[in-house]
Amino acid sequence: MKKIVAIFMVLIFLVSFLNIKIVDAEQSYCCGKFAPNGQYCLPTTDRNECDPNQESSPLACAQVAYCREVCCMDNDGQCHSNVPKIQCQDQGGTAVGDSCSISRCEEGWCIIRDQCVGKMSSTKCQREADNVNASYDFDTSIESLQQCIQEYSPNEGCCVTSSGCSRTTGRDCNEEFHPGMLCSNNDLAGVCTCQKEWEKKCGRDGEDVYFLDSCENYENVVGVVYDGFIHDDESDKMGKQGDCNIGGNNPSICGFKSGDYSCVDMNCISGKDFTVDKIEYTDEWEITNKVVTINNKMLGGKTKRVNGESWCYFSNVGAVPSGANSQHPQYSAGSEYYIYSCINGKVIAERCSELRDKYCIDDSKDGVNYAKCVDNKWQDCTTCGEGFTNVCGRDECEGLGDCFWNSAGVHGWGLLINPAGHDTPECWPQYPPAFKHWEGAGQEVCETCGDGMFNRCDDDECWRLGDCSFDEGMSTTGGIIWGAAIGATIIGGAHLLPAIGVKVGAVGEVPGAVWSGTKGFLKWLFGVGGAEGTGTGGATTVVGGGASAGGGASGAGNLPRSVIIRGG
Amino acid sequence: MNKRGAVTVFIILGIVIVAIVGLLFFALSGNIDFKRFTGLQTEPVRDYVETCVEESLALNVYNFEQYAGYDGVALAHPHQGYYVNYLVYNDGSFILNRINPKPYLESRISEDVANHLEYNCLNGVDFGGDTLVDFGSMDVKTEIMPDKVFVTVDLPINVKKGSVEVNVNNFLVVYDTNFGTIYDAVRDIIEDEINLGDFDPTNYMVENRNIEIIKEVKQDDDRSFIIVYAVKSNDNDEMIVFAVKR
Repeated sequence: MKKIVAIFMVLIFLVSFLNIKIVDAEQSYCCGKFAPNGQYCLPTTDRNECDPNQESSPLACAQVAYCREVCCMDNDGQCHSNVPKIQCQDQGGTAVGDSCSISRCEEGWCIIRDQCVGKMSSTKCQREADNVNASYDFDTSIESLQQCIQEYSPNEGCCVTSSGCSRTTGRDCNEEFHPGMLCSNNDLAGVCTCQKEWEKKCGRDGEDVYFLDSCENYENVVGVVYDGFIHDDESDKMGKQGDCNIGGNNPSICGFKSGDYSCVDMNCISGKDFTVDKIEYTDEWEITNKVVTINNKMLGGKTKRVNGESWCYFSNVGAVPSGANSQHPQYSAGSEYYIYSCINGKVIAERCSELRDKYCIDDSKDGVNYAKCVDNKWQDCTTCGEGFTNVCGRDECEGLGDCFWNSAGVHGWGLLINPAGHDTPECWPQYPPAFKHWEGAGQEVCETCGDGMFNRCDDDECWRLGDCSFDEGMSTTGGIIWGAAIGATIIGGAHLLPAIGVKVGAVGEVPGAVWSGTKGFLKWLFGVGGAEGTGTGGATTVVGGGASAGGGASGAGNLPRSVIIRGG
Repeated sequence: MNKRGAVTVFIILGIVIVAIVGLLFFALSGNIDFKRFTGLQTEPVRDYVETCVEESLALNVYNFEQYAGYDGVALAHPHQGYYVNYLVYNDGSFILNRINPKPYLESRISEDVANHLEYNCLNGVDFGGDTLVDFGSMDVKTEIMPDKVFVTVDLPINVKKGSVEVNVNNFLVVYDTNFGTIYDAVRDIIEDEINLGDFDPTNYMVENRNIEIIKEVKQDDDRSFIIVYAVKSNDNDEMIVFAVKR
């Protein structure tokens, strides 16, 4: 029996030995990276198959830390769920947590420059936008490319909202959007009440003539056959009635003509109307759609100016005492230099400067006139001939700036050797300046009139010096009153600038009236108002009218114009 | 002249003819290359490099489509006579995502293209005649787009023939493939399989009309489910087949 037990025990021992060998043969390892195929976290019985550069363990893969499932964000910013940690790190990704349910990994549609780029994480979307240096939209509510295109399309359609129907882009429509559809489309009859082709207007870029529906939505260019949809491609518009042609030999642009909008000549032609869309002046008033008729005077004496051409305009009307020199009006207070331009069939006026600090000169190129404003260098003109024995010569005079040399005149002592000469200084400003005389400015300039031992101030010299008034024979008191009234008129009234040549209401192109101020000019130009300043026209009423206007406008009647009274 | 002598002469004559034809062929080949580089045309060099890049790129894309983003069969499931790689695998204790991310695939393509250029295309290249070609250090970048793969190679090449030399650099190869689109669909399937435990191909195909997905579900011996997905581009025959075990 003992023998049997001993044999049994030996057998058990041997069997157990065999078992150990079997277990040893099935020993499993978890390769961090399996060398033969590059996969991560694979079990193997041969540890040599594990990539020696990566971790491996005799434990099961589910038990080792390097095989733990993580949310891996790759270099593109895209997140992948349940990636083995070792794979994430080895492939250059970043383990951003156990789960990808985090905002950085949230996926949505990425829209860059109005283009639906694709569905991706917000991080990746931001990177894509940064790559092209653009802003982006990230929308997690978008389900498909089609929905994305519809909602973020830069193309227009009809947006149906509780407040009505309007033509917008898909991006700007927060409610029901019908891409490519006009709001007057019959299919929207139940929701939109817009009537098709209700009126015409110039397009938003001002070039072509468009139909608008009764809800004031732009439709198509006039002439495009209505089918309820938007047709804004050039090929759709080409050759149609409302397709104006800005380029070419006969340029045209949308404009108001004969009571309707149509393509009108872009050149400025005498007798043609143009519309001033809108002019605002503070909060007091504004002008919209004012029709102005072009005349020859406005075009600088011509009947036609081509588009883009510009020319000088001088508002040369002032208060001139009777019998005064015919040149005097161009030196009157309130006169200003302007550049007039023909832009898209409209005459546009642009003042050179407020106080004739600049004047306008004409130039031409290829037969087309171009005007520009240059600085008025008048300040040193009256210094010509200074010195005990110096006689002002032409070269000295003209070298002093924008000066005019009066060859008939002599100055100072020169009168002794030329007693028949004109008794005015011979070097005056070529373009007499303007002064803020209502603030007392210019007094010192006007006072130089008649300077010189044998010189005598006359009207010619006085008006040439700038905004100076001359009144031979008037008393000092009378002169001051007269000048004050002129000053008041200047401040309270408007320029009597015949630029556009329109005579509306009480406003007129009347010699003798002195006008000033942009506001007054605009009112005169477009024929509005009348109670304020514009009622001051007329040579004989300039004093009284000016005074009342001054009171009405800004109280400027208290501000005297610089006046030099000599020989009174 | 006896018979044996005549045969010997003919053999020698044959050898001479073959030698002359061979020499002519060699010389003409040389002349062709010579002409190509006369006037320092860079097109032949550019064509040569870009063709090499495209070869490697095409092979990589083909492999990635065949093996679901791998070079070959990895942890795979037998399916219709061949093996398809698992991209999601549940071993009973944890479920792993085995997809290779796009940046990794891009880097693999770049690496392969660089190796192919260096060892197969440029090593010992002979453009014929006395043309000397020197290569600078190489930098390859790959970008997988939905319907294209871009590979840019920054490789300064100096071509010298006699006293004239030109430099060529910056090669771009654009390879038309829908691999990017298919890959994105595969990734979406995997994410749904992992996070939702299932994937609905019908809805996906409605939203992504350029993709066709065939889903086949089987039950494995251990009663787990094995799903084989075939993701195909509707624009061409490109396809990725992969398996999910859950």
